[in-house]
Amino acid sequence: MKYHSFYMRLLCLILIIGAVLGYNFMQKNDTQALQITELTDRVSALEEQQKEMLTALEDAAKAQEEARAAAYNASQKTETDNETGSSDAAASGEGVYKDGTYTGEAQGFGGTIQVQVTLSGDEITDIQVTSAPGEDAAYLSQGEGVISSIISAQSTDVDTVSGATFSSTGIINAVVDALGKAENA
Amino acid sequence: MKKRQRKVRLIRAVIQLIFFIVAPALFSTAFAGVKSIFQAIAAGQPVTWNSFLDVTGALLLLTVLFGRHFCGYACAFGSLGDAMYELTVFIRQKVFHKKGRHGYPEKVVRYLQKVKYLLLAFLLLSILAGWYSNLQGMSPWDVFSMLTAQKLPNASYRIGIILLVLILIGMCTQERFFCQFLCPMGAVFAMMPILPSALFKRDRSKCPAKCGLCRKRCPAHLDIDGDTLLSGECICCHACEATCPRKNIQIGQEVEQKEAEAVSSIRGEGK
Repeated sequence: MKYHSFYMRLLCLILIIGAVLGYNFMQKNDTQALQITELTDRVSALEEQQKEMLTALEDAAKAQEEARAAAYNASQKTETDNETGSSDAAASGEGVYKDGTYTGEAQGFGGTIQVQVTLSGDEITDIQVTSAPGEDAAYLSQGEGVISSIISAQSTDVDTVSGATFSSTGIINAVVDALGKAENA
Repeated sequence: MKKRQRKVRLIRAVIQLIFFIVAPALFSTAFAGVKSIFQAIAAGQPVTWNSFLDVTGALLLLTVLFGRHFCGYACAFGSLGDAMYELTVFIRQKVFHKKGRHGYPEKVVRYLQKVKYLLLAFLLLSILAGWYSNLQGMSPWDVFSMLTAQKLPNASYRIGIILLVLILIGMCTQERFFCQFLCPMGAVFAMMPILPSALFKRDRSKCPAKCGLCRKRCPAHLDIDGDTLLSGECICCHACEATCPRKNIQIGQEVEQKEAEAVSSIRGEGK
């Protein structure tokens, strides 16, 4: 047959692509089934929580009355305790990080990666890679996948992106650098 | 005739140099795309399109449509191999006064060409089996891409450095040593259904008996004849085209191919 090898190779390629698509389809079904079980679990958990809260409210109402009675007896003691208590409260109110936008730098694959981290209320709200001249475009955009995991974990202790280890490690370290600058002294 | 060969080689060298400077990471990015598919499967996650697969997909599409011109003209590692080999040819000529292009016997080349498929299978299976991470630091490509990024690999890349040096030595002994025998991405390219119109074809009717210059000059020692079992090995270096004294070899040209087949079947040479 003419072009025998070509048709054989074409068939192989179609089979491979078909296998990947089939795998993806099965994965999709699996995740959907998983999501359904997850959701039903959550609903039952929420129902339980609701019951617990109701009983806790009742308990709290009782406890409050008891505490009110006890407060009279202890009122003289609290004056000295108050001073230390208020200074603790001030520290925790300030938070670990200052709000604002901070830049950090770290070594990527072929040079320095610079990121901009936005913090508000001790939460990392946004991370932008502002410059990465030494990074290959494909590797950098793959490595940027680590940003969403940092934001969702609210931590820099996340896995690097396989295949783009250097770029993602660089981004993580740059975020660490930026967080260091944002820390309350 | 020699002039024509030199011109083709020079044009190719210039294009290769440009790609080497501008995009030295294309080949490893393309293979990272292939790996990412298997990594997703190994992790039990759906395969998603990513920036590596952009490069892989584009290169595979180009290869299917126009043949492995990426390998012949744009791949930085292939260019490195060409540079090493041509340098060795030059030194042999100037220092040892040995003319001609050295290489392995055809039979050995045929066997070694299969090694890359084994290597590809080994790498992909090791990803699926989950012990690919143990190979960290062994990839000569990682070392090469660090060097092109002007970065010195550290001690954890010891095995990769040794392998790269061995490959560099191998590159001196045979034209396109790595591409033909070891390149896992080359194995993927070779398995692509390259359109018959993008393959080199030979008008056998015009060939003198027992010439075989094209086959001798071909780095892969291919019998240039359009779509064959081995046509995927062609890296589109255009050496055969430039070598043929009768200009019998060209890419594509459906009509001429049909004519040639008709003639050869009349002469009783058709397969």
